[in-house]
Amino acid sequence: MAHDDPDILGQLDALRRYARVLTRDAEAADDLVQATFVRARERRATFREGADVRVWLMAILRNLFIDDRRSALAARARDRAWADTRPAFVAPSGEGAARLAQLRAAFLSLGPDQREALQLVAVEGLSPAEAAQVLGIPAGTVMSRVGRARAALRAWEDGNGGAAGPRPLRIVGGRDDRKT
Amino acid sequence: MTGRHDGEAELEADLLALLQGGLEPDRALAVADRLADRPDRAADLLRQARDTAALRLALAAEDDPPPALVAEAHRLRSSLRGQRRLRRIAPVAAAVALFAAGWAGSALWQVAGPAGAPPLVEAALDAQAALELRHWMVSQPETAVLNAQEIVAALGVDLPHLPEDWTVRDVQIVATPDRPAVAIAVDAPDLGPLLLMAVARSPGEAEEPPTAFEYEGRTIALFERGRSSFVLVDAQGHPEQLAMGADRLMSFD
Repeated sequence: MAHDDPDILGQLDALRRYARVLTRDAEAADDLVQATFVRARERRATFREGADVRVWLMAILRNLFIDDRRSALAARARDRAWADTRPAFVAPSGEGAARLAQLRAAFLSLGPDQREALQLVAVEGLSPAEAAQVLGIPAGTVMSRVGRARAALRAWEDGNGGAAGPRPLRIVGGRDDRKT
Repeated sequence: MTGRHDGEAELEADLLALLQGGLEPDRALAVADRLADRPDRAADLLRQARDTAALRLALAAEDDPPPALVAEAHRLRSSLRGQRRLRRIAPVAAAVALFAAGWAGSALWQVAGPAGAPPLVEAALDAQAALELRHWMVSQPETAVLNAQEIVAALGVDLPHLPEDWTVRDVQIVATPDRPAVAIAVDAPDLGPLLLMAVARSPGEAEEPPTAFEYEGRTIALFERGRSSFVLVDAQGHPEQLAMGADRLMSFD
């Protein structure tokens, strides 16, 4: 019955957002999501009846990304994207735009472990147990990473005055050479 | 300290629900009470809620998903739907197919594996690994064109007509211990991705009954027809299901 079907289309935004943060490249992210759907179709027998389709797809996406990361081609694409030649995210506009852009930069500057945990739990709304399933780590580790990521962003905000001022972006973790 | 983490996560979720007006009145009152007693914690949670909202805005995608992505999402949904149906009907269908095959006396499948896997099975698994590798390699484009005439002429095998709903992903000539074979990677809507390998049989060799079995985490169907031997490999699924797929191939002219 159609109303029992897993809602795949409803996961598109979250999957694309997760893929964009992983790849830093809009085109590569969409390719990754596409590959995720293809792989999921090939492995549809592994989807358990009643399981959360979003968690299943995110785990596949992450594994594909890790496999792909091993190739030099992907590494070059990521390096290129790091230089921000192709914006992966919409440019914020209106009041607070600069702050959002800085928050995004601070978020993207977090260590990959903290960033992924924070994205899955805070942005995508997964429970610690679900995020643990995607990341293949214990739920307690997920939450400690989320805690550290939040603390880092908090410290950034405190250092930044929480507003779009001229103050330099401060990345917590002792890497801010310009702090006084 | 999972319990503490769960409690914190629950409180945060409650706060978000409270802000969005998504809590029942009694629950909303209880949460508000808890937070009112702990203003410092409430302030923390509000900052987290603010960060979450800001991050969602900051990480918003620039555009709508491309049509190809939406189409792939639809395909996946259909596949999952088909998978669920298959789970419901597979045991019955397999029993019917096996009974029918036995009654016809043409293809009674043995569903126990041979004592040792024939070299042909090993060759098919090697071929599958190679094709899988090609699938992910940019510099190794796949060949989805199945030129049966040329393959028959070059290898001396009889290629079955693939069911119309099977999609050819890749066709490669591969090595086996005795002679070259053709390996065809296909997507079958009811079975998923399969590998079919066909190789010419030695003249005068006795025809073995078809067998379907599990081997090294894969499901294998091994069958012969005329002057050719076939191996069908499935990454998952039951031997009985794969035997049904092989039956469709064996019914070719």
